[in-house]
Amino acid sequence: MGTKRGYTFIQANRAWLPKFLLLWVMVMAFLSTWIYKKMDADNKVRRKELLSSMCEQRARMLQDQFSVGVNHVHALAILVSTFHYYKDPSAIDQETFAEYTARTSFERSLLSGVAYAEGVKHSERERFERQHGWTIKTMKWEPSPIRDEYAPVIFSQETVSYIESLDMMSGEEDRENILRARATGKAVLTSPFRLLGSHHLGVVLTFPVYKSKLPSKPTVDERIEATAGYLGGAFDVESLVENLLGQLAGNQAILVNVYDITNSSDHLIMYGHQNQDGDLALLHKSNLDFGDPFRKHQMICRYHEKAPTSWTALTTAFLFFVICLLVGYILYGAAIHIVKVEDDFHEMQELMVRAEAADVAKSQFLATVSHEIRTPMNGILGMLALLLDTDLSSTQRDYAQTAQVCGKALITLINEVLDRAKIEAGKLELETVPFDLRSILDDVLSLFSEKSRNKGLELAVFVSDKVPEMVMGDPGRFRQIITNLVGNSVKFTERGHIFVKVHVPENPKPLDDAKTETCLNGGLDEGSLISGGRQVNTLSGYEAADERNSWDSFQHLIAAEALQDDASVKMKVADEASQSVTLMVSVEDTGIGIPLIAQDRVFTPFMQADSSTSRNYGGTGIGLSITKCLVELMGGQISFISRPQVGSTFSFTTVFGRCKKASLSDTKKANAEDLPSGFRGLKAIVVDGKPVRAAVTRYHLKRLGILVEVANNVKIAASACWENGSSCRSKIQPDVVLVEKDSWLSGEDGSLSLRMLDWKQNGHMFKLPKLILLATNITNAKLEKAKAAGFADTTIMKPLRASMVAACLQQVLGTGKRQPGKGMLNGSSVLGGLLCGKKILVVDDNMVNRRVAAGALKKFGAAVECAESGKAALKLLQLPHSFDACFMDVQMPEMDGFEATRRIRMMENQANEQMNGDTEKGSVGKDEWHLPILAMTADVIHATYDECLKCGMDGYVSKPFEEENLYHAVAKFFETKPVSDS
Amino acid sequence: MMGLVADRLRADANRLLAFLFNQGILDEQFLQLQQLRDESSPNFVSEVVNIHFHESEKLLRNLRSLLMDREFSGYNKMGIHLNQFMGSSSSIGAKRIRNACFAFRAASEQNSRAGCLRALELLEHDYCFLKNKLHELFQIQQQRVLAAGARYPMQN
Repeated sequence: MGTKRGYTFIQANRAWLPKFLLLWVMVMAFLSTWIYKKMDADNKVRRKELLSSMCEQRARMLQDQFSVGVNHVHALAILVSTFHYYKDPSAIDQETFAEYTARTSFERSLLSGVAYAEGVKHSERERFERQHGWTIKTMKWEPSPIRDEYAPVIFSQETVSYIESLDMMSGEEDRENILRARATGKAVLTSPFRLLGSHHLGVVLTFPVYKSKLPSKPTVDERIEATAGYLGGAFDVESLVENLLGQLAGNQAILVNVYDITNSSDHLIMYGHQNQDGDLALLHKSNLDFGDPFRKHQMICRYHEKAPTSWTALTTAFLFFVICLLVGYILYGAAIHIVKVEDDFHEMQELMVRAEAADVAKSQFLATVSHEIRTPMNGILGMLALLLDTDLSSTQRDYAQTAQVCGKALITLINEVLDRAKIEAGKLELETVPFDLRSILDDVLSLFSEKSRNKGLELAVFVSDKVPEMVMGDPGRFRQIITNLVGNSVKFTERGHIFVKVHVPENPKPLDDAKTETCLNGGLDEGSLISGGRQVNTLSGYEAADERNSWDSFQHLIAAEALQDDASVKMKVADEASQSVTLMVSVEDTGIGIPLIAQDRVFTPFMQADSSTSRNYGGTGIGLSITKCLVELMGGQISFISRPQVGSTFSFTTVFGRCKKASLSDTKKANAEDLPSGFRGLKAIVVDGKPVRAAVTRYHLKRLGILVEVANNVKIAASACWENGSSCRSKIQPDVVLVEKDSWLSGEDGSLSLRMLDWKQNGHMFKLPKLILLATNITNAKLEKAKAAGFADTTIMKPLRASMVAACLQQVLGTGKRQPGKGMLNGSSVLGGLLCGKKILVVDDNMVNRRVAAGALKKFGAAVECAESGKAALKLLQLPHSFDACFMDVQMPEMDGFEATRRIRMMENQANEQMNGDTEKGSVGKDEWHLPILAMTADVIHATYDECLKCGMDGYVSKPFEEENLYHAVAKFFETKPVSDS
Repeated sequence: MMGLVADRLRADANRLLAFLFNQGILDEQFLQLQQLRDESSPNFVSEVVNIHFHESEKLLRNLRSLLMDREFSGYNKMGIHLNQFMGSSSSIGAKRIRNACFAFRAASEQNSRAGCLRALELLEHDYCFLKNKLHELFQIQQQRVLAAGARYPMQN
């Protein structure tokens, strides 16, 4: 499990995801149910509270209203006792009572009517009946039977006048009431019953009326004694409650019942319907106190309707559930998505790894295949070369030559592909060796001179003086870059020029200044508008894509250089202090340019500007991409400016190391083709109308040490000479006059003046300056003409190269003999010089190898001895010995090269120590023993090299000997340690 | 007439060399070897090559005996022999033999006896082939020298 790549939590639990979702949904459902229940319960509590408050409110109001009624009846009772009994005669009769009660009935809104019944004993009945003129009747309007007591109504309110003369005692309820009221002396209520007259339910209130004042704490008997009658009032409870409820809000919502619960087992209903349906689940009971302690009343309220379903709660819960469901689903979806994306990612990663592997494999395959093709190609080419050496008919020769050319092209292509593959595989390593940039540029130019001459192109190189003579870098790759760029330019240019310029991009600002300056006053004074087209100050006069190479800035560059030359040595010192130097190289041509649409992909491999390019010009389009890679490997950048039909300028920067002074002298001899120094101090005049070209010529001459002056045309040159001639000899007397072909042609009349000049000078007995014509291409006729015109001495064909110019000058001036053997300084002769007379030991177990090595070394003039094993070598190298160097095979049986070297070094150390001891004692010191030992090995990978150095070897040569390798390895010892003991 | 013979011989030698190169039997090292020939040792190449053949025969014999050994365990020793073989053949530029040695060594590193035997047979075959061809070449060259020697007075 540990090997699995970093899965996230989600990825690890992917199987659980649906279960998680289900769990979530369930939990959420539970939660929303709970929420619903909670809200519903809240609602219920609120409903209950509302009900109880409403019920209480109603109960209190009812009670208050009731007690108001009771109080008033009480007041009436007191009124009756006061005015009926205490006054004599009575101040109240039926009329008064009726009027009074009618007028105060608003006070007793709840009472349907009040009446006063006098207590009459049976003994008094007759008197009473006589007095009033009517007989006492029962409730049923019948003459009352005989009883102990009667309570006939004597005063009554008009509303209940029908009860006058009725004996209240005859009604069961009333009688009980009367008795109780008499006993307690308080207001007393009946149980509810249907009232007479109206058929509403009602209760009757009864108050006792006393005929005399009672003692402060009367007994029951005293009360009964004092009682004169009874004041009664009928409460119409039904209408009372109806009125009351009608006044209150929310009347419709609740259902009110009022009960008399004196008898707790049998509740008597006072108001409301016994079996009215309503919300039976919820009811509220409120006790009512109507002032009669004997009777208990109760109000029961309930809602009319059942509790409505709580939509809010339901909606809330439902919405909550839905939201949670959605959230859950979103999370689930996200998790699923994450899982999917991660899966895809892993898949992609795998694919990427495979793609990368495929890419590497491709590069390796390319490298291998290119290599494998190269090997037989070498065979083919070698054999073709051999074939061409044989006697062939012209047709056969033609065929063979064609084959050879094709083979060479193929191998170039293969090399390029190999390079490309190597770079892609990151296997290309750059060397760091000192080399002369100028000579490389000259070489490249000479490579293309033939082609450019055929096309009539100006091909020139200019290297700024600030560029160090020797730089550290990879000359091969640098040459490759230049060759690529120049090759492209040559390929795509039909007219005009190709100009390679190298300088140190140090201060771009003055350049700008110069530019603006020339913008201000540029063009006019030189009269650059020549009939036909715009004449541009470039090498050939054709317009170039990048104006930076035009004379304006170029001039400035040269001027700046001159300044710097003059300035001081400090600058140079400062320059050399830095370890590296950045060079700006530009290759300018006036070719067909690159179409704008194709400019983006110029550096893409196998992309040419368009498909017709390869048809017209050939090539694979790999060159520029390799160039770009190489430039980047060298720590630079490449860019280009191109204008279709005008030309392109490729410029790139590279970083080279500076050469250390010490090693400079060594390597220079080996690497650089040496320019003859015999021209130092010569003077020359260059006649050229084009300043850039003149500058290039001057640069080459300067390299030879020739002092140069530039003249714009022949006349000026002539006059310069003339002045020199006429004035005293302090002025410069030119040894050579180099005339550009164009200048000569444009000023053909000038040839006359030249002639004249010659004459003049002859007349003055001056040495005649040599006349040299510089030409790109020249027809034979023209050449004849030129010879006739005085250029008898020689014609230098462009492109100019310092060495070629030197050769021509040698020829002209006859200075060639001054440097004998200069040109011999390379190749085997150098090795010969190095190894000549040296005694060398070759140690190899392989007889063949031994023989070959010995043969090779002998060829260079060394005296060779051989040893076939490490042990034999040790024996031979017992100190003191006379060997100058030892070549040691690394792989040998018994004792390998490393071991043998270690032992040799040990021996030497011992000897040296001893010797040091001796020298202290005063004997003459000799050099320490240190035999240069070079490893011979078939594989030259670095690990082996490191091991070689570790065990005390001084270097290595790869096994089939190659002269160059051998030279490099050996040169170190025989040069830096000059002739110590020979 | 003699010039024609010399030319024919040269052409023959070139053709043979071309063939050897073409087949990948020899490589550039052989040409380098030829350049080492000078006045002091005109037969340098054939000398070296003969040494090589001598050594090679010894090595081949050893290799075969090692492989034929019943309790075969000499892979290490075989490697040493092969290294030597490779060294000398690359010195004279016998490319195909060197490649055969590579294959042989690879087989021996894998401890595959069958592979070793196959490689050995291939090696022996290549070796014989090269030996015959080189002998042929040297013969031609010898004749050329003779022809040149015969031609010499005619030029003057």
